Amino acid sequence: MSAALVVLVSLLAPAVHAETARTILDRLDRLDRTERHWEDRTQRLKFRIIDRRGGTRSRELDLAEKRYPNDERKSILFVSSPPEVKGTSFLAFTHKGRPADQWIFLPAYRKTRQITANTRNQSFIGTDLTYHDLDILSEMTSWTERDAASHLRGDEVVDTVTCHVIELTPNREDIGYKTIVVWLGRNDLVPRRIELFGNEAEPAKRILQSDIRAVGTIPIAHNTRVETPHAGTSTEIVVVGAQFNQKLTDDTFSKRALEQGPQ
Amino acid sequence: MILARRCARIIAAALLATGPAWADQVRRPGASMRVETGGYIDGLAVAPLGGPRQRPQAVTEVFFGTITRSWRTRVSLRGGVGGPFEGAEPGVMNLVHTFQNRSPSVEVNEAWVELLLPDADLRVGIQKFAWGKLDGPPPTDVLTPRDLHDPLVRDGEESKIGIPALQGRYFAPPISFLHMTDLRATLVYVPFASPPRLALVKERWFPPSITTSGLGVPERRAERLINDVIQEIIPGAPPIDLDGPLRVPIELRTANNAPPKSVSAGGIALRLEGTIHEMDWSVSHYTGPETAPDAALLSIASCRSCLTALSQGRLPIRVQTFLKQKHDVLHMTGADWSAVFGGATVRGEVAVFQNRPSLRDTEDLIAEALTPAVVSRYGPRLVLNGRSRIPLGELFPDRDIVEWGIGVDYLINGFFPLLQLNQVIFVDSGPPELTRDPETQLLLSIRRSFFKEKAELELRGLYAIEPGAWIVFPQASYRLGDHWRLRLSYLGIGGPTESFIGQFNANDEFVFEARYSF
Repeated sequence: MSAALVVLVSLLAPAVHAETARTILDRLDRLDRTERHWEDRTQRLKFRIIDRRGGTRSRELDLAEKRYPNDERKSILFVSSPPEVKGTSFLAFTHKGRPADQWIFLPAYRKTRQITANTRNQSFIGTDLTYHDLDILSEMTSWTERDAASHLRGDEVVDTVTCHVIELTPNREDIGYKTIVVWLGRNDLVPRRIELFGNEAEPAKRILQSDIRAVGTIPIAHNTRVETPHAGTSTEIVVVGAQFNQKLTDDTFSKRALEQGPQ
Repeated sequence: MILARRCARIIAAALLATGPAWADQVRRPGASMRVETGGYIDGLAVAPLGGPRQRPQAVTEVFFGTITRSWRTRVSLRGGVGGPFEGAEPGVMNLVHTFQNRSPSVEVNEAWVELLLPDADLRVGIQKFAWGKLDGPPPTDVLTPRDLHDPLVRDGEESKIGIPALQGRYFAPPISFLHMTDLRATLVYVPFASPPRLALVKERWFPPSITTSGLGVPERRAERLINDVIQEIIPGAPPIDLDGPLRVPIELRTANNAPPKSVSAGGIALRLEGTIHEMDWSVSHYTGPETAPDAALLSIASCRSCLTALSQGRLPIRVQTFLKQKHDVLHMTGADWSAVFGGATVRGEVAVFQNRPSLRDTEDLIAEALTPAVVSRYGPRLVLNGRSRIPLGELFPDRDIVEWGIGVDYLINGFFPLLQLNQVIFVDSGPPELTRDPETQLLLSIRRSFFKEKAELELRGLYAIEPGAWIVFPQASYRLGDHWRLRLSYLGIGGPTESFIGQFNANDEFVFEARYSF
């Protein structure tokens, strides 16, 4: 899930005269596999969770992720704020076609505990994103027409950036949304806005990305805002630091590392 | 002593007052060392619905740690004021006494240094251990004693007492063809015994099965017993008529008895663990000082001018009883395992104990001491000398026990239910204990978060099948901002008083807790 979160802030794009939604999405997928490809990454993220009445709570975490063959991933996440859960950490081995293996380390309990990966509709650390949302955002760029039919609505300006507006209509039941609309920057193919629709006319979730800056060759959104319009809640995510391809070893994703905390 | 009390007062006050001000996480510029500080302040108020009172309590814990690539250090202090203590004095909690009546108090919770090597680490100092996979106190989690002044409401891990120990761990490379990863071997040396802390006689959580303020013996039975004794002293003496039932006041006190500090009094533990095919497993062994409650009852009876009083039909016996801290060696061999099946996490654990102390009902010990055979051993001395020690059986006889359990949890529609079955089986023969043989316990917990984890409801319940005893512990928590957590709980206990849980059936209570974390 942590891996998926990082994908949220680093979707890609080049500048082209794409004529159809499919060709634009294919170019994005190609970029992901070539010049914007990464083997591992680390990020420090700050979350500000805003409730309906404007009350706020914060979360800070460090995460690291490494890709393995056959679409397998290992990720480790360390919570450094708020104080009540400081020192809590998660380790996940994500597999293709079967549930992830997950462990949690709770400093108050001084032990690592194997936990269920059955968290699909659970809120990710109390934010407006569920674990399932994070999975969708991480895999969306590699969807084919069989996964979701794409349609180019045209171009719109989001925060002074001209974007292609692509509507995706999922064909798979497990995706769980009726429609997904993505505003991809015309020049960099980085998503500026994503809306996830259920049965209502109003989006169930709205994701706004800004402050796009490249880390090496990989552009990432340093500010993300996730809104749940019907609940009146939102979550602001700030990427404080990001690094790619540091040749992280397997020891980074071990239970020993989970218990020792971020280095 | 006075200095220690003053220090305790000052440190406890400092902990309560200034902790939050320096809570932080700092990376020193130009250095790879990270400094971490933090902790919490807890305010706890108990509204008893029966049983002895418990005053409002404040507890704080602050920690300071440094982390580099090669070293980790941690110092954690815990202080408290109020709570279950009655007639307490300020002081520093020590590591060797079972009965400590301190408020305000301060203690070193943890203080260790750890050397980190590529495939190993070595930790020395006051530290805590958490072994086992089951919820509640896991059977194999025997290295670290607990503070049992408030055994049910206070979190089991927070109530652990740090012990001096040396821990070495070796992290072995994966064995690919067996799909074994995260292999590690842990070796622990405990130089001397650190006992658990038990509630004192006047406290709310002192076991009622040990409490006894007096003894009543029916007139006829008392006459038979005393006449047997008199016949032993003065054969052919005329029988004595008592002028009513015998009432013996008993004064119960606690007595500390610091454990031996020789090398042979220490303990050693070994644990091997790893993951195989995504299943976590471990096997462990511990031979060392007992860390569960263990104490002996020592009784001295006095009878002033006994013969004169007897001639007047009276038997003015008084008994003074001491609950004295005891030390023993425990052997535990255990294993645990966990795996995920179809979204459910399953955990299992088993531990085989040799010499595990198990609590008996004091009433049974008294009944044994009033049998004619036993009375004949101390009766003559009591009558003639006016004072005698009463031979009582063991309050915590050492038993050989197998403890096992299996639990499963599953996340469904936001609810997180957990069901666990535990069983204790005595594998040797011995006197009847407060714990039944076997005793099977069902543990149920259901938790659900609301408003993006701001609020949480949890229901915990435990049912001991054989004795028919139970505990229910529902609680509602609410988080205010990033630092505050408010919690309202109800603790209900039921069952026969001749059972380990049921003996506390008068101690129902509401608990309000406010915690500030920093």
